[in-house]
Amino acid sequence: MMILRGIKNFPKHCKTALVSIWRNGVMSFSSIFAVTITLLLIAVVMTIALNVNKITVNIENSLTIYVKVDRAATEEQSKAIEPQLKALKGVKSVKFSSKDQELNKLIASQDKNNKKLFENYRNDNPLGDAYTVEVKNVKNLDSVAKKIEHIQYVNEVTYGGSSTNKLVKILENIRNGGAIFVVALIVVVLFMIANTIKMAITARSTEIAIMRMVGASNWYIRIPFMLEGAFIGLFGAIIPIIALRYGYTFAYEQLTQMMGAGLVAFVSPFPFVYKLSGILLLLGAGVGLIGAFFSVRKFLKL
Amino acid sequence: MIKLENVTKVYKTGVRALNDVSLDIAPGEFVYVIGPTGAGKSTFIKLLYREEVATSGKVFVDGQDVKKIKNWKVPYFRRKIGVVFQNYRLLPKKTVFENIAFALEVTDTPKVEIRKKVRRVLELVGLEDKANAFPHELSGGQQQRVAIARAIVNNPKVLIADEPTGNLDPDTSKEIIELLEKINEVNQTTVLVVTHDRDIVQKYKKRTIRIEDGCIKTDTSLGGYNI
Repeated sequence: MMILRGIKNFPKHCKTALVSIWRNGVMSFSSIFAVTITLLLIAVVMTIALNVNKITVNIENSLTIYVKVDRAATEEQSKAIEPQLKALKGVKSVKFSSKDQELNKLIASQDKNNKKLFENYRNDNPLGDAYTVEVKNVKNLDSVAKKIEHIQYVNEVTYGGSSTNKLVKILENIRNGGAIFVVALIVVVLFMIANTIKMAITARSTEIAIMRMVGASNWYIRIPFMLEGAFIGLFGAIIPIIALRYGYTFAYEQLTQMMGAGLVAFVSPFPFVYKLSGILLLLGAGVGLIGAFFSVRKFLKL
Repeated sequence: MIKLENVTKVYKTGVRALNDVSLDIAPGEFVYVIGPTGAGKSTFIKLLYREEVATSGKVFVDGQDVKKIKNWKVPYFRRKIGVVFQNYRLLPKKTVFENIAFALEVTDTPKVEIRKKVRRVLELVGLEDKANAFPHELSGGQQQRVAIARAIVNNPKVLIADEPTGNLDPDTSKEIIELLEKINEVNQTTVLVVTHDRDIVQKYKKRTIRIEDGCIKTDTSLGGYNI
């Protein structure tokens, strides 16, 4: 019964809410503006955070230990390293690359002029054999690398671990700092909307007094104000969504072109943009509803 | 219809507005409540429509213990009581018809029924031809009639009028009281009029309750102001 009434009165309540937004022009506008700024920042921070996350996962998954074998080692001695590597705890896979393969890789990575230069080394290869070791958990990268150093005929062990970890940590800090910033902004917006609704209530206090006098239920009085808050939130989400839709697709294309297809791959714009837009709409409407609810509550104490 | 049992009301500020008041008003009665300003008249009627709750003692309206009504049920309780104020409290941007219909809209009355009921009540207060006028186009007496129409359109069991003639000239005041009498007779509504107006109380003699310093000083069915 209550729900049916709610649906029946919904258009009327919506109209009341929109008229009230219009009549409280400046206050409504400043609230909508505050929501817009907040949601824009939230969109930016979330976009960065999700991309950082994706890149971090990518980097972590591709972290390997590069093991150079001593040139002095004979072929058998070199081959003997493989089972030792495999026996280490936490090692996922081991890949062997002979010194000739290593040279081929080196030559392939050079430009034309240098290629000829390096071709000369074909006869007397200065490189040694090498192993590429993948670990099960990136956290064990350090300890596994240390153990490998102690294996006989291992010349050099390199891995991008420590510097990459540092980068990831910095990015994480940026993300967390952003999150705190966004939460603070949401609180500010909550108060802004609550204040706007308070003004709207004051402007209509006679009407509310009469409504209460003739026996309007609390929800009947409350719903238009809550809708007003929700509308302010929704209006505030429009610009951030447009900015996200075009801004992110543009930034994605530019950055992807710049970086090429490699380790640093970004979150593709679709359906990411739609999902984040949905979140922004919900956030705007939710903050509006809650802000309005709290400011109406004070006026309806009987 | 209305019953007070040893009711005391002390406001948070420490003001003792009512002190151990007991009274009984039967259904269909017409009662004046008189007394000097600040005597507790307003507190008395606020207790009846539960704008305030008694500090101690019991208030019954239509057999219901007002204190026991849950907060969210208060609006439904209010539909049993019509209230009229000195300053009319009409919505300036709504027509006479809309102002009266407003009381029915918020209680989810079907549109057809709203039209029927509003027309009937406009006829009762004698404003059939003013349905589409705005409040500012009406005289004070006419505005008070609209307010009365709005208060009774729900067919309340009790009609409370707080200084209904406070802003009106003597002739118009008489018309308003006559209208309240008519409502009392036609609808059998219990009517409670809080007033300062000596002439009215003298002319239309009804049961009169005088409140002074938070107590009932006199309560007589003889009527008249100087009792």
